[in-house]
Amino acid sequence: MLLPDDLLRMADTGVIVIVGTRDADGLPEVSRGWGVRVLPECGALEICVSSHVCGRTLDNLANNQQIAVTITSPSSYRSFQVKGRAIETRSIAPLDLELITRHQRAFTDEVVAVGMPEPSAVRLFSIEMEDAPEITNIRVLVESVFNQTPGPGAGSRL
Amino acid sequence: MAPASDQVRLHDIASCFEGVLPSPISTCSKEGVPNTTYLSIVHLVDESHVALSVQFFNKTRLNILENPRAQVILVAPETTDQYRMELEFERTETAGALFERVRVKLDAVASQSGMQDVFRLRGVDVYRVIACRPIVRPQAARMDADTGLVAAVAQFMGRLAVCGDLDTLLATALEQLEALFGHAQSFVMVRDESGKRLYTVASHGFAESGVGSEVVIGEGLIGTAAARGNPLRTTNFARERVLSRAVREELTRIGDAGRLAREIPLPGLANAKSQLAIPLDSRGELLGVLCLQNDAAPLSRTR
Repeated sequence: MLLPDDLLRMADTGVIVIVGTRDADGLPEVSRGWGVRVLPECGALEICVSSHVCGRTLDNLANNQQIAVTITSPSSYRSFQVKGRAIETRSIAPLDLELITRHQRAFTDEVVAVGMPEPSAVRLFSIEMEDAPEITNIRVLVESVFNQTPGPGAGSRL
Repeated sequence: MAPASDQVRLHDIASCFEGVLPSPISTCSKEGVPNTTYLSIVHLVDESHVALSVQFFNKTRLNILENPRAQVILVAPETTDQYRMELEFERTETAGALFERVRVKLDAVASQSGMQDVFRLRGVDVYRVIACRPIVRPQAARMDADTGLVAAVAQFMGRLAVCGDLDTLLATALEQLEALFGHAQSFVMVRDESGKRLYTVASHGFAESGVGSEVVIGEGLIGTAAARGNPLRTTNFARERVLSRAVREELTRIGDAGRLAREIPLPGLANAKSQLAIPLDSRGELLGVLCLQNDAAPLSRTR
């Protein structure tokens, strides 16, 4: 599907990324994601999760592919949620690591600007990513996109 | 997933429930479609319950009404330790002590940003906590809790006791709040004769004294703390400002800006990151408000 231009632009900045999945019984799992890459020509996006902190996320995707990803700009609270199917999971490649590093820098700059002390921002990221023995890239085929910016319009389909 | 023995007591991670950093939440519809969003704050109710405010009937709420399970990530602001909390929806409260506690805070923030018609508390959803575990091993070094606090309070009271007049008393109190407790910026507002406004009579740690600045009792964070007789803490103004701007822009975009009221300027620091407004009363009658502000780190551990 066609992805909004704003989403494309935002994905390259220091966004906060939240990944939602569920198990076979409908129990939800929430995790953070890093290193976003939007692939507009495929109507897809890719995110990376760290295996040691993402809980049951990867098991859930192996079970049913159902995934929701919320991308929020910490400096504007502009926010999108994409829902779709995780069509591929793989170990990360050098390009993913590059994206993760770039994301880390941008993320730190943005959250520090809205009041988070820099050591906290760096630690939040490093616990998830730098100390991670194993990072997995997830490719999501986007089926729907929602406006998630806070307020009465949150949740409307785009 | 950490073993069951890794379960943490909610009161041991109380700073996670102060709304300093937002909490991601995930739910799932009965058709099996997951949903994720952010919560500004998760309210601690007791050792096995937490509460979430309901302002809008959004997808999270629709989901938990048909599939009561949710999962939330909590972040401790002082260490950035993260905890994954499994929840099951139990009930919605629309009156009572918990509802009022959440409403006072929400009303105060909404009125400060001119959005009292937008952010209206419809209910408080109470969830049972099934499990709460650290996502990674928590950092060993934590803040020393209240070491020497009793001695500092005794010193504080001793210094106030020797003040001979009100001006000296106020100036000494604010100076000693910094010397003994590290609160570098503070001011005292008192009620005017009409009983409708508060005005500043003493301040400490600001470039300009601010003496004379006013707020209307019942409006904004300080005015609401005064009107309700409740201390009100704002733990992350920078985030509140971003959130407020996002909602204003969104309302304007959808042609609903008529619901917006004027933003109320905050007395004190232009770039305050956190604030604690404490009503001062005597025999049940409001005298004024003591306000602590901080432009460095959020006041996440102030009691």
